[in-house]
Amino acid sequence: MVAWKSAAGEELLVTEICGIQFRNPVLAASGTFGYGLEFADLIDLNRLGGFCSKGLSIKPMKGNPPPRIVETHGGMLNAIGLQNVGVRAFVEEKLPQIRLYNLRVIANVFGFSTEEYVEVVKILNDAEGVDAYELNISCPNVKEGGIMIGNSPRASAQVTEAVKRASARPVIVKLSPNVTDIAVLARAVAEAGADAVSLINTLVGMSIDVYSRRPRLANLTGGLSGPAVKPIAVRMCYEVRKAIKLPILGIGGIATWMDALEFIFAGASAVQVGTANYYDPTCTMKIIDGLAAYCLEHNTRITDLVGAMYCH
Amino acid sequence: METSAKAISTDLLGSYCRLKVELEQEITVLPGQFAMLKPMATLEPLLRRAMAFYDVCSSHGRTYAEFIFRILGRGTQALAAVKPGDEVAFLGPLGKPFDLRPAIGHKALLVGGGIGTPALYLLAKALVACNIPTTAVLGARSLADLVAVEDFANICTTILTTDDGSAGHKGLVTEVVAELLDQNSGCVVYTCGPEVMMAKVAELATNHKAACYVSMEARMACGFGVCVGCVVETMTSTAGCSDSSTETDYVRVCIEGPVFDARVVVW
Repeated sequence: MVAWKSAAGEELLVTEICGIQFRNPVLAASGTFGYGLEFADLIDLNRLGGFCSKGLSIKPMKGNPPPRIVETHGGMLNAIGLQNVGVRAFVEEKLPQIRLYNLRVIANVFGFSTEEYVEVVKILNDAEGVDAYELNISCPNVKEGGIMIGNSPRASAQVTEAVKRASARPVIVKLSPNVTDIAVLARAVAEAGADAVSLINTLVGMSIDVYSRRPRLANLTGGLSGPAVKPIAVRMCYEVRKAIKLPILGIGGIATWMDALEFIFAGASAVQVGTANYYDPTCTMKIIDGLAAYCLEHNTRITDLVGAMYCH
Repeated sequence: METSAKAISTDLLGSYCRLKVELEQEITVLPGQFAMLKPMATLEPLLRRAMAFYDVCSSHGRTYAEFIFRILGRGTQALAAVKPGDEVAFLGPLGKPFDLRPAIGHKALLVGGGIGTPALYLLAKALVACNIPTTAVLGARSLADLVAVEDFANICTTILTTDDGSAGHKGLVTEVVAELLDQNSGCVVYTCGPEVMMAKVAELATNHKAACYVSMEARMACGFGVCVGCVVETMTSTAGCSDSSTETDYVRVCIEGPVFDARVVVW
């Protein structure tokens, strides 16, 4: 553990992505941080770079039947099915409380059709305290929308373009790793006007209990996350970095400052911490401390490290 | 909530483990609450495991907490293998506790099944402390699976049942519960155990017009409401939901539970 308790070095972490300044590049990933408020007693939210809300749909969603989660080696499968309070309740009940904290808020947006994405964004446009939108076109656990869009470059571009037209704020598109070539999807949404991309969402996986002969999730399949997926995510960040010029938010199994740096060297301007929030709720604070210590020690700004990997 | 914790002891009782940890600060635990636990800084298991508090005592600014669990999978195996002095990742207390108020002026009937029994011990202590006449009916497959029953017997009327008759009454707890509810009116029922058992207990309670509170179990990733993985189906209005026309909802065991009024649970 890093014994770095002072704010020394934290000014070296200031990052700008699509015109928004973040005090550091450490964000919490959608679906692992609730509506932010759940962490108010666990960490200092005012130290966090920002967070992505749970995926918000036009109406509240009930989600999938249980069991919804199961631990696998070095990770977990989930099939929550986007249970959420709905965008209106988010704006009316959650946002006023979130605004009491000083951190960047990215609203994660989900829809079953292009129109629904646009509708959610239009409601959010009028809300105070949201800095950007993240389009979830890659949820593997709902039948329509989600991954159906994220698997198709054309559908992804269409949603991106429609949302961009309606949006008052920067639009980040969250990409699915469940594709043959993620660079193709990245190029499609970049050409459609995305301001940034975030990757990766979870990888579709499955686990079977050999005693009961049943899948461990009621949904049969679920999204794999956690340290087990990190090498895949780093590789995909690197591929997307080569394919497009847009800023990248790296996601996938990040639990330590070294994990975060791997993504940054591969080309991510910021990172999102996901599953680690479950088993180590204070990990984002430790990651910020670790990155600050690293930048001080190497006398560098974090922004100078983006994509700064040396090749053999 | 996140507290530095150190293992004091792990006593193995057959396939069960009684783990005692020392917390570096004093916490107040209410009956029915739980903690998320795992050995410190391990990737295997990755997630903490939800454990109901068995017993708690505080002195000199420290809290000693005990948990009894069945050694079943990777998480419980790892927890049972911690050595005295090992650091334990600890988050708690979490969840909604049992409501004692309905039992005041009445009688309490505690129904424990298998490894659900330890989750009722703090409740038994609290009920007895409130001078509420308390009876515990504790069942298991056989004698070896009756854990912590001596502690119950020391503080309240305790009736044991086993499937194979190796201890107490031969048969199911629910048979004894049915008899007791027939003989006693004005009982408040509290139960923790296998879901089929709790469903039957809830049904008996309803038939006898007795209030019934159940402590549910579910796989949890976080324990504090963000993963939404630990849900149970309850009878609530979800008017306006886009993907459901039914009058049920999935609610989190970690926040809205683990204790529920049995009437709202969809069994």
